[in-house]
Amino acid sequence: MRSFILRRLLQLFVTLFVFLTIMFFLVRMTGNPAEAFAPTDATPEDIKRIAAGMGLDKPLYIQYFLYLKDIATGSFGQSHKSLRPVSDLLLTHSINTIKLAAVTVVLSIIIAIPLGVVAAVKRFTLIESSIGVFAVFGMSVPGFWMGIILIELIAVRLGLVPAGGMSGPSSYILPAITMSTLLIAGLVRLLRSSMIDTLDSDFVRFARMKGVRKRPLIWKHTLRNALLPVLGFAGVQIAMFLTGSVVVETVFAWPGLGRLMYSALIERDLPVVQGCVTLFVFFAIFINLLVDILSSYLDPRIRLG
Amino acid sequence: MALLEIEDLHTYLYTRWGTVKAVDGTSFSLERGKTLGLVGESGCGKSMTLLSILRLLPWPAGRIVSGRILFDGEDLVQKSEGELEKIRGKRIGMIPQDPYTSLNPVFNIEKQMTEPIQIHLGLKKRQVLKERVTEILRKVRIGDPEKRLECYPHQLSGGMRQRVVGGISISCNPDLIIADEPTTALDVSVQAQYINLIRDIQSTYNVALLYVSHDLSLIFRICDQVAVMYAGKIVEKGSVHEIFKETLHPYSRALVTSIPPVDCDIERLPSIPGQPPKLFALPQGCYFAPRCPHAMDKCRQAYPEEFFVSEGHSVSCWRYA
Amino acid sequence: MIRSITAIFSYLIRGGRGRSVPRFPPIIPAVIISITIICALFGKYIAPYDPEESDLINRLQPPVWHEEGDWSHPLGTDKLGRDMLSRIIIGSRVSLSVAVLALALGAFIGVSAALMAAYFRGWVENVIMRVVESLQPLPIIFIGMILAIVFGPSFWNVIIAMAFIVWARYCRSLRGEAVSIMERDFVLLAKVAGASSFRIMFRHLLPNIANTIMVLITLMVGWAILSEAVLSFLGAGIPPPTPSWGRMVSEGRDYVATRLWLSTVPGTAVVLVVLAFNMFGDWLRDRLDPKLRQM
Repeated sequence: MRSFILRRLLQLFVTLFVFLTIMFFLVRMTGNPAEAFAPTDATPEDIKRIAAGMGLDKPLYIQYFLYLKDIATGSFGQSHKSLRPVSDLLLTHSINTIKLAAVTVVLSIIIAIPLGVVAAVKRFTLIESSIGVFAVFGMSVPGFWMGIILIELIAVRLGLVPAGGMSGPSSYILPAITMSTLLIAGLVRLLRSSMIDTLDSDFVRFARMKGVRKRPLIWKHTLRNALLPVLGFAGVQIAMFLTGSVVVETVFAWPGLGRLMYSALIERDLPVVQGCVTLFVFFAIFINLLVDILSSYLDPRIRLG
Repeated sequence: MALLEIEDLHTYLYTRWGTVKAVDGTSFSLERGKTLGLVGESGCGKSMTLLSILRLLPWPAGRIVSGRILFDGEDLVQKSEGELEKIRGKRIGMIPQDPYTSLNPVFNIEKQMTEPIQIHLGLKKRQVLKERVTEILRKVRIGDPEKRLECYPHQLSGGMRQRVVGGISISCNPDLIIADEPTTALDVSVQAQYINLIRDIQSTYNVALLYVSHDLSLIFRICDQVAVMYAGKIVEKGSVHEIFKETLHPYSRALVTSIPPVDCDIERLPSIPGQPPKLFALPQGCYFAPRCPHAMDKCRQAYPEEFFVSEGHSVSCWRYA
Repeated sequence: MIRSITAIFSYLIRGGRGRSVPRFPPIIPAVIISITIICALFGKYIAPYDPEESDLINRLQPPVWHEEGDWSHPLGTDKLGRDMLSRIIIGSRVSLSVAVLALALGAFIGVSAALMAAYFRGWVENVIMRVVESLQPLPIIFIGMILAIVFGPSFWNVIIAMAFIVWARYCRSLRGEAVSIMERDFVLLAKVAGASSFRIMFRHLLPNIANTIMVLITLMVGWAILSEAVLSFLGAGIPPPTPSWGRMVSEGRDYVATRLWLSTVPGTAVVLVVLAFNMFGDWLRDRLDPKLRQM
């Protein structure tokens, strides 16, 4: 198990490294990176100061190390707009993002697992086709569209919950529903097909030959195995989920990282955007690692090598 | 009364490409404590016969269309799923073909072995269960059983896994064990050991054994009764002595002659000409006629009935009409 | 009763009765896709107005189903008085061309990488697969955002960002199949006969994975259109004034309290087209390659 986790850790570290390198070179490809990092109304002196801070007068590899060092120590520079250090902004906003994401993930898993299992068990019935249609819808509906419609119907017309912002538990409802739709749809599709394959496997048939009753057969023998390929596809799901979180935070004015990034993008506040993107990629990698630990816990072939 | 009696069983598979008559009017019976060998090429309907007995046909494609499966006097075809769950694993044990895929990869051996005992015999205490399972592992000749219980399937060899599977099938003292080519996935050296183990268990516990194989020589060695199956139908059946002495059906004969004799070198094994029939498009008349060296006009017109050549030896071939 | 309703329903949208996959694609998705393609190709001749021409006197007109709407602008006008219907028709061109170009570029790189991995095995395969795996967790919009803020939003930024992610998915899905084909006898024979590596890859391997490639492309069209819409919505996609559905939604958000249709109408266009492509892709996958259910 340890070697597996270490291997994955190394791999995810490579991912982070690849991403940081891409970002470094992209910024340098613009001609004058200091200009890209400077606010639009910056004076030539400001730009010179920024250039010195980035070490632009030094050779490229030293710049690269400076850049990596800054990121490792969490110093992403200063926001043009609020003039606060980017790291402060990241810290306050990421907590809100994590709260919403946690609620969403829990909600999605609670809903997706029964739906995926039932769709596979009740094959060729109305139940399966309804779940199938729901899943295709969930895959196809953009978060901004669903968010706007939910706000209009439930928050504005019915006035049941706040339309946006973060205030008390009821403000979580709409963003969490919007954000979980995509995740649920993806999980249900993966789990359904994986359950169908597993239900058809020799060991499930052998378990039936032993006289195992239907319920434990499905929820223990089959589900635990069927989850493994679903976890294998987690990388793509996580990436889509984080994308969704930026959209949802923007639509619902949720004071999180995604919204911070959106407004920074509109104001062309590069230090903040860079900080947010780096942190998001870091999150993606961290969740991937959690998933790996979970799958090694579920699968003794990984755990025991 | 026979322990297992199959009467005119028809099991069809309804697939995307058409209906396959996988089992097409099969009848045979098996006495308590005896061994019946079911022989045939792959795809002849042997496995579907077994799955019909356990009522574990692939869903929704497979269905028992007609016929009766009397097990200890009760018709399994009429049983509900709940009643079947009480028979499977308790009164009928099964040894599937492939030990590599038959054990659940995420549970350890202890969990998988104690499960049927827990379900059928209602034993709950971990210690009792563990002792019982250790005992079984000793019976199937697995060394160091306490340690093996902790293992997961991927940590055991193929032969070891198949012993575990065999142990599971006998764990509730069944009346009948169904073995579906249990040695094909094993190394040749392990095969003989495993067959001996099955025979030992069979004779000590006096259980009936339904052994499915494509290897007629093996069947001759371990069985009392033989049934030869071709394209969903039984073409010849009888006691091992009778059939070994006088193999009548051209197909059974072809199976016998394709067994290499031990005592002489031959350059080339005789093989059965032609392909096994496509079950979607069976020929008119005897299904074996297109490949049969003795085919007559009559063979191409009507399927032969069952002719009894002696007490307990019957054959479906027009040559013995 | 319920059964026949289900049958009709699923024939219209899923193209199947579950057990067997019909020969014809599901009707509603096929119709939506055809309309989208026609709009993308001939939008200029269909659109009643110039989509980029503003008409400030007629700004913010409601659509025809609204009490104050009329047929002069069936879907109303936006804050600059531009005709929404024309913008949506022309917007299909952006959506489809981004999706097609990004997927084609991604497929080209991904298929080549998979073929090379399968042909050379060894360290080549190792390197390719490590790169593929390390790209897996990267969310597309972050790459798109970095590109947008560094170079300014543009059509090609979106395509590059997407292709960057897409090729890795193709490569991951195709490599296994390509490897198993490499091990088949006919490839071995070709090798023995002295066929060049290029010939084996493109004459023997490629045709055998063509079905899978087709299915993967159709399955991802929906995703690509959705991603473009998201990027444009966040202001990192197609720059104005070119009409793009995602951008139209985000422009309409300023008026969401009083003029909801400004965002929901283009949003619905995205939903319908993505839904149609996803359903069509599901049908095609079941038809050509049931093994791909995983995707």
